[in-house]
Amino acid sequence: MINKKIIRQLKKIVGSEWVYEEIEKRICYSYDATRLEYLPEIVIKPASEEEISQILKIANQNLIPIYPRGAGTGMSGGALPIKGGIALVMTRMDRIIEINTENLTATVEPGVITANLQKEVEKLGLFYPPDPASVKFSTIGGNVAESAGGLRCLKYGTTKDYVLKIRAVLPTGEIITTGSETMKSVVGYDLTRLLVGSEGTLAVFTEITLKLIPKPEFKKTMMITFESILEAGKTVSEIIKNRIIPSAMEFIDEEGINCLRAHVHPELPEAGAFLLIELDGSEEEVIKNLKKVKQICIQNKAQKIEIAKDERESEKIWEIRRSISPALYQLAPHKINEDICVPRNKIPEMIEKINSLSKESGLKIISFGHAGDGNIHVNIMTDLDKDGEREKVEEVVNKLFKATLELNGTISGEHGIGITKKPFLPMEISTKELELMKKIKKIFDPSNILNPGKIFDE
Amino acid sequence: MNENLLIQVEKKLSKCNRCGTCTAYCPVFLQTNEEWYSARGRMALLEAVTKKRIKENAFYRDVIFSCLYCYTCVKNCPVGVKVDEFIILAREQYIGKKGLPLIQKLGLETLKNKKTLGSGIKTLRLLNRCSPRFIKKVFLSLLSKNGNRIIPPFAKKSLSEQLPEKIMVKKPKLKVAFFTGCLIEYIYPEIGISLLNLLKNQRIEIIIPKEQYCCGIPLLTSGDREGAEFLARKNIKLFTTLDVDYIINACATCGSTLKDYERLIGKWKLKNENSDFKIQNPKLSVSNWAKRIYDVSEFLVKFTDLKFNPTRETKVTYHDSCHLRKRQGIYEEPRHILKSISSIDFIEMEEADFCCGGGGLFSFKYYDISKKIAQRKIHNAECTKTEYIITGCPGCILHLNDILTQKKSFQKAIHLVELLR
Repeated sequence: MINKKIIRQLKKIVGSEWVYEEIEKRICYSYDATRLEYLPEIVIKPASEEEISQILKIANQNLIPIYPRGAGTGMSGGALPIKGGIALVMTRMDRIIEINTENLTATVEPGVITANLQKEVEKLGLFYPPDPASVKFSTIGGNVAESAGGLRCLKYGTTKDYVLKIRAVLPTGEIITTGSETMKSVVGYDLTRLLVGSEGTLAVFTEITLKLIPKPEFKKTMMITFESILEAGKTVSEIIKNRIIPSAMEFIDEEGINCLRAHVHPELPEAGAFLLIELDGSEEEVIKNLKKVKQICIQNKAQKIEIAKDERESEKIWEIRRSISPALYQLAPHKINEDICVPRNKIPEMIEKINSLSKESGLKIISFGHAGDGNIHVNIMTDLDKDGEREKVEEVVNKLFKATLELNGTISGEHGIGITKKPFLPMEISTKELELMKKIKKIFDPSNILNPGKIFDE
Repeated sequence: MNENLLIQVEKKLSKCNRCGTCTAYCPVFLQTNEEWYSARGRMALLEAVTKKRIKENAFYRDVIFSCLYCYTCVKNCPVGVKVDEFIILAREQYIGKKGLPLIQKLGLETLKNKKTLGSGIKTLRLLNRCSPRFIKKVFLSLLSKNGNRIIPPFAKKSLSEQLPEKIMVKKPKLKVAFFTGCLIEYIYPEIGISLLNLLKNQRIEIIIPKEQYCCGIPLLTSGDREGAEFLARKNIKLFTTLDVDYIINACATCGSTLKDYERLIGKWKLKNENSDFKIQNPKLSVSNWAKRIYDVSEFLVKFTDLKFNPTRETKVTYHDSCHLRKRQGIYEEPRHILKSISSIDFIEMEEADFCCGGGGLFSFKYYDISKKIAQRKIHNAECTKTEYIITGCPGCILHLNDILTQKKSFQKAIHLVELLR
């Protein structure tokens, strides 16, 4: 319970205009992209590390749960204030502190919108590759907390591959620095890697130093049509086997294509699967690889190969990929989106399994996603208002995860566990490892005030 | 007046899945960085009102009236939530309970009566000639804190005062009616004149019906749907009696409103109407109406050879009015026209489709935000180092020129048709 005295203290720290007590304002910071809602008791928008440290000290002393929040666009509930308390909104801390063109690094505050950073570094011929679907409206802080992925991870890796150094405030209010600005550093345990993907449960980030790379000078986008997902899957494996790593390699399954044809893109051909591939690098390299990819596609009975001539045509291809997710709502009012990941050569097998789950349950299930890295977005379409539907979906999800793990996969490739996948965590992680994680949490956060109730219960 | 308009659409409100995509686009959110100024925040609060979790208080009023009605969120929403419709419903419900501020109510009522409007404007014009500063002061203080705002004076003679009702040409290719809209009629008649000259050169016969009314958008966005409907009916009644092929307009906002009349008054509910509400021109029947309304750029590309008289050489950039690009899907046509004129060097600006911040009545209530949004636009426009910002909406022109003048910019915003000869 946050009493008047505590609120006065908090207001003194950040200024009363940055503490929201009104129900209207609190509602606006009660949700995220899971569409679940938990009302915080108050909302605070700090502007500095010092303020955050003082806020955490108060929260720690008074055992008030505190929930760090970026743009509130998470897919697993990481920012939801499930036990009330304080929603700590980081969006005022949105400065790009430095872009170092000599060392190729960027140091930013956590509230910077990822796409804004990308725009700024690209002006200097540099590149920050991680591109989750929310790249235009999610924050770096949130991306680091969830170790966000995206289309380009296949070639460039996920957020965790770009974080060099973090300044953060511990739940006790102490300030720590992990890692180093250098490209190499092996001093002590790698706390940076521990913080990345910790879903806001260990510390509140205040400054993040990221690795940048030179911007690729040339790219080509292509779309390939296959009669079945099997051939598409084989093509993916062979491309990789031939040592070609595209900057993106996305697939859409038959159900997805049907949905697109019916509702958004009637001009698309009937097909068993689409592959959308983007190659980048030097012009010479891209042209060489493009030829090879084309050959592999033909060998695998591709029905049609379209290569974008210019930026506009390539944009058209990516527009098709982007329009699936919204188009799915034409099939049913609710979409349960799981982001399982399997070793990439197991994609066709996994898709077959998903198809049989769909038949078995009578629920429409559409799969699409990152063929190149095995990350499949499985979309279970349902009407949760119908009797018994919820239970049916739960059963399918259970079976889906089981099948994923049987193929040596993982139940979340990029969304995180948060609260939505919490019940399934023990399916993948054994008691011993879970115990270890809980102990780590306890060391960082002895009073369990920082984002409590996420990933696992204490 | 129905007091629970939102409850009727409660299910549709819940379609917003709070993904946050709108926060990358909403111009008001990008300026304020406060969740309740984003589409998803507004949707959450609308839902909270239907569930009686919050009251329709001053905060709520601010939330629902601080939307620009620019349609950017709707265009980018992955699940197609019609935020604009819900905002209007929320305003209607709110105004139904609490009423409009007196001055706004008076202003809007005037739009419903041609005679009062005419004499009202004449009086203002006269006062303006005697003491322009006084008028401005009264005007702005009534409207709110608009500081240094520069509002162009009413034209000495409105468009309809300058023109006959019908402009005949020999062997007309087509006959069109011109829906002028209030800004062109009273403030920017020169845009209307340019348009008419263009069409005359193309051998197109034009009727400018004197009895036309405001399109209704200021009333609709103020929450007075009945009033907007009243005006829509007046206009439909008038235009459908004319022997014309098309109705053209040069105001993005009016155009989008006209095209949307069916949505506004639901198939015009013809059965319940008086017998005099008969459509005499079958070309303009309910099912044809929206298809026969043309923005001038759309019209020129579709029906003319785009051969214009030579103009002096100049560089221009183009600003997409939200109501043209996002509501009507028109963005290729004006660019096509600009590129087809050899003496004009057209340079595309960054974020050409980003809102100018005007938003009609929004800019009066939220001038500070409005101004900041315009500054982003103007920065992008100035980077092109061109002389003119071309656009298709007098509303954008009014707002942009205000801010351009205040910052003593080298650029000026003009209408596409003012550039053509």
